[in-house]
Amino acid sequence: MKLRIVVDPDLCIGAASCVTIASDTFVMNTENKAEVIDHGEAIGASTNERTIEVTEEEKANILLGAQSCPTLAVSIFDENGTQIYPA
Amino acid sequence: MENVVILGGGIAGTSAAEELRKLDVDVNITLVEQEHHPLYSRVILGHYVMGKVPREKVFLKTWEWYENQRIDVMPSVRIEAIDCVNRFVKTSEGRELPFDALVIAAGSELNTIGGEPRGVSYLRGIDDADELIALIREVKMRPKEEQRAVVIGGGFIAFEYINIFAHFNIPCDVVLRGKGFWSHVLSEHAQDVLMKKAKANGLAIHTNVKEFELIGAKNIEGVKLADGTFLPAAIVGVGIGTHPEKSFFKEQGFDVERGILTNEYLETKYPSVYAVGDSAEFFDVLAGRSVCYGNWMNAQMQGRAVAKAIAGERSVFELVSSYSTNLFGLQMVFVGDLDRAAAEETKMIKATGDASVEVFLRGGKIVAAILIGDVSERAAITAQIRENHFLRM
Repeated sequence: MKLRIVVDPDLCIGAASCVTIASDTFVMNTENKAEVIDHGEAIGASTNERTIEVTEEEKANILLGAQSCPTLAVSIFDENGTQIYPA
Repeated sequence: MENVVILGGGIAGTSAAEELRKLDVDVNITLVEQEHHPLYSRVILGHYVMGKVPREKVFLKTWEWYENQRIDVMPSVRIEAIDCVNRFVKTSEGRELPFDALVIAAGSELNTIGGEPRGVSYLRGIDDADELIALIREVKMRPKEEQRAVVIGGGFIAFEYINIFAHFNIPCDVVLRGKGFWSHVLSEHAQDVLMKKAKANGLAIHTNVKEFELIGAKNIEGVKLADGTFLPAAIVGVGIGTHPEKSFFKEQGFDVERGILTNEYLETKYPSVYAVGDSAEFFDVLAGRSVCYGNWMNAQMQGRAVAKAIAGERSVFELVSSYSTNLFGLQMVFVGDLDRAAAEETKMIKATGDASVEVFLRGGKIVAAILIGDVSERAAITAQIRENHFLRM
């Protein structure tokens, strides 16, 4: 399945809990903001938003990473564009 | 395992409850909390005060969530006694809650200053944030020359206040006990970098202030320093740190030093009794000593770790925790065991006019890092710390 993952750079304070939990999906940039990567790879320009193909297990971990954000800077959408986190 | 009681409904306690419910559908989970709100993010309070997020977004859970998860939450309740031999806790309502496993996630207490006329602000919880918003609104209606604030302290919460007052164009004086910001944590060079940034943004900084007096009977009028200087203020933001509650837990029989002592499994000396988050002092195998960390990431992951242990998946707690803040946009990241006095060795990696990167070492290994103005080495340093494995003596 596909997930669209979006980090709001205005909310991100660089706590990096998402990176700690889901290091294949999130990475910190030089401005100390989280960015979204695809299975450890930053194909194309660095970006705070990406749609990636994930397994059920990967989805669960990415959701944990998003939920760990103390400023709710990470939003997750499913294939139909429905926001699944924050619900 | 029939009954699990969790003391504290902050991020550590709530994460423990949430994870435990995932792993065990049958166990009875009781969460005792002194505050009267569902879980909210203390980290986002600054954003909330500045109007960047609405109040409802500060809350991470709703009361319905606890109900749906079958977590028996008891808000506005204090614990009066913990009996780890007969296995129950006694609440302020006089109830006795039996437990098979107990998680202490009691957080920490705010350091305060005496004599508090209205206008003296702390930023511990959502109620404080609501009050600060009301104060700022009042101040902004006063004549321009009366729109002034004072910040007392030079650490994490002080930075929040400074950024908040700057956001609302309220000029402010900063009162520091040492000669710079966060003087017991930061190197002199790092303090210089912050001082430069602060002055460039118009802050008036008063250093080495050992004593001061809050002036004002009903409402705050200002702060008088020991040398006679009077700093007029309609709001005084106080950020002088926190400390874990110690005497209560000592009286209950726990071993307490800087926090409730645990091993690397977060276990106290009593079987199936755990301490996590700000209230715990645990043996950190990545740092090589017992530490107290007061950050969100540590609290959350420790809560989750003890839930796993209670469900039968006992393992050594390993996390390179970090936190992050900024002063007028100057990024600061703090990683690992940041007790300067306990570091065997410190090493400056970068020292320029607007950046300061320093690491702390123990046994030749990096155990902590302070990155200011240049955070590019964060991931590499974190990865190095993660490789450590110190044994408990």
